[in-house]
Amino acid sequence: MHMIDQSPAISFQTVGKKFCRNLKRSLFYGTLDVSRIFVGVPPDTGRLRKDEFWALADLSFEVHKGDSLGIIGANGSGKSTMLRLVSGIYTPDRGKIIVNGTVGSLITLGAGFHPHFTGGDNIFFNGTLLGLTRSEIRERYEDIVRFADLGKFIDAPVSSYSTGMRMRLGFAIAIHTKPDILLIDEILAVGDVNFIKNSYDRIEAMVAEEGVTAVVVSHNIGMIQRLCRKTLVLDRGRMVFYGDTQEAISNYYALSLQHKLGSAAASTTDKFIHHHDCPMQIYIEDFSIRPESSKNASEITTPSTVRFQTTIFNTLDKPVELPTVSILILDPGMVELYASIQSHGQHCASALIPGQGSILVQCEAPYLNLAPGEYRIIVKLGGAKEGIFYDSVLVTRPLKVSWSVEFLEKVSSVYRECKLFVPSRWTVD
Amino acid sequence: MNNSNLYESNYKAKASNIEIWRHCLNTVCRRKDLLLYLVRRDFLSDFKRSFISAGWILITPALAVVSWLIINHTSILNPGRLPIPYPAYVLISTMIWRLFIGIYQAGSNLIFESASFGIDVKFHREVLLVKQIILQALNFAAGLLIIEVVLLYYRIFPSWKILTLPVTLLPLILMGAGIGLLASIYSVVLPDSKKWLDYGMQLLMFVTPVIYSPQVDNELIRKIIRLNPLSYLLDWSRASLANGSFDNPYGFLLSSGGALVIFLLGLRLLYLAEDKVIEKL
Repeated sequence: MHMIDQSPAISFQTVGKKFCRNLKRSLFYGTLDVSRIFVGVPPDTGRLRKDEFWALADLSFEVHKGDSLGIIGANGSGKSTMLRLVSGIYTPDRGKIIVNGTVGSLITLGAGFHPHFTGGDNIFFNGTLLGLTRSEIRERYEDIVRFADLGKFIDAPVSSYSTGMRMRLGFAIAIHTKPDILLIDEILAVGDVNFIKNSYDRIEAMVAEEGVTAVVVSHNIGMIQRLCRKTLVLDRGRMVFYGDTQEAISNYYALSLQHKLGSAAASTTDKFIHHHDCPMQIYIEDFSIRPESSKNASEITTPSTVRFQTTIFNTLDKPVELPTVSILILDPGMVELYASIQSHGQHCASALIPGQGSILVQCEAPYLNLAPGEYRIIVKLGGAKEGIFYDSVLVTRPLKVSWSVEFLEKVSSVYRECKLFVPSRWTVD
Repeated sequence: MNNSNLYESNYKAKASNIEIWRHCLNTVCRRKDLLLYLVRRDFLSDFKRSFISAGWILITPALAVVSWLIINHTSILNPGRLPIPYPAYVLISTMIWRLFIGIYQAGSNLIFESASFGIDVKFHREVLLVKQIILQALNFAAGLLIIEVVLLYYRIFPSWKILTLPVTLLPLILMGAGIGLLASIYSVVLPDSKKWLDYGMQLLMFVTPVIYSPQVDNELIRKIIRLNPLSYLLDWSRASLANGSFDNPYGFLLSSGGALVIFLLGLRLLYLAEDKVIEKL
């Protein structure tokens, strides 16, 4: 396996990039800037003019040679702008960027393809466009054709290709440019399953065996998890996290949820974010986890009993019946894994919350059948029975689950690959 | 080879003019394979879907000449005193003018031509410019066949002067490319400027002795022709082709110098401002 070179392939030093919201003003600024450049007085790029904003601000990080970096963030967070800065298409308005090595882009696959020429002809056109010489293309021609796997279509005009076929040819040419730094931006959305697998394998091999530095921009978290060791989370042009990919993904999901609830969230405490569907007559005042195994309320070591405590407050003067309380466990991708629901028929059914008072509802689980990792908790108040959700909160701190050494010995390691496991006893007759 | 790049605000402005022009030249030399394929692709693609195919290279100038001949025959146009028969004169002049205007238009569309992928792929637009010049020159060279046939018909035989054609054409090419480059940058940030410039170039043809002689009776037109650098450049190119005389050498040299300056300024602006305008695409 290729060792990671400690010298940086890419270095961002307090980088900022600005754009203008207003088209006409943007063109006016452009005319001013170009005219200043023409007369030899470079524009002052460090300050914002009217309607300008920082699309990227104070970005500092390094990517070492042979490392792979993922960039995730919501639409408009500045991911593609970052790639254009690395490839030198845009220049920063603040700070500096150092790029050590040749840059190859898997961004616009098939750039410059001419529809009336054959795939073979276009290998030469596109290859030279991406920086290869004629002799280099001749050397790699067979490999490109084999990877693109277009069969006899390689001799057909590109206009007869499907979108997926064009992308395959574009991808095959791009990866055979053998760059030091590979920029990948949402390119594997169109190909078929086999091609996507081959593409992933190829990119992984380039990083692991050839020491290529990869920068991957994608909304496909699976792709980021598979290809990237480190990940950078962008939020409205600012770096909110840079480090281990798993942690970055957790941060990204938490951020996404915060944005989603942002407009509806009436209050955010250090413990949880409220999401109210109606005026709060009854609301979740407090929530805590009491694991037997740990003093830390957000860390659980399986197997051990876990107690969830929810305090519910009634703002009305008269007592009201306790609504349904649900505790949902979610994976980092905010996919609901399972829920524990208190409702009528259980111990606290038909309990009353005193007027202007609170009630403590407890839920005890012998252990959580979750694989080690980080999870999220949402607590809901109300439901179908009441016809209304009184309150819903996202617990801010992620729930960390680990397995005790004894438990690890008992449970197959296969479970660790899955989010959930089912305790079961096997017999052979 | 050191592939370390430092990008920071206005980093290109630190380069001297000589470094900029050398960089542009080196880029074209380094990317000669790309240049070759782009020329081949565009040259062939123009004719790939056409039944008449390469015949259009000859048909287009021939049709243009026919229209001028009709205008002349109806006596609407008074071309003035001409050294050679009018059909030959207008054919040569319009061919040279088409080369100049073709290069101007190619240059002015440089940024937009590569807009579809230039925003995602680092692209050397100098190569694109040279490609366009080569394509225009190829069309011109093919048109020379018609010119020679017509000249022979009028018993005007080629002389050694035809060997000077590349030298006499070069300033025209540089001026067309230079104005085009300046227009290409400004056309992105100031779209109206290109429209005005396009109209201006159309008008320019009527104040340049393309379809009439420089020896016209109107004093004002004669004055404009004397002040118009294109008059000298066109006159010398025409002389190379039609065995004419190289008059006004100072006017030609001065105009050539001006063309070189405009071209170098255009290249400089392309290099320095390219990044700025790409953001506005």
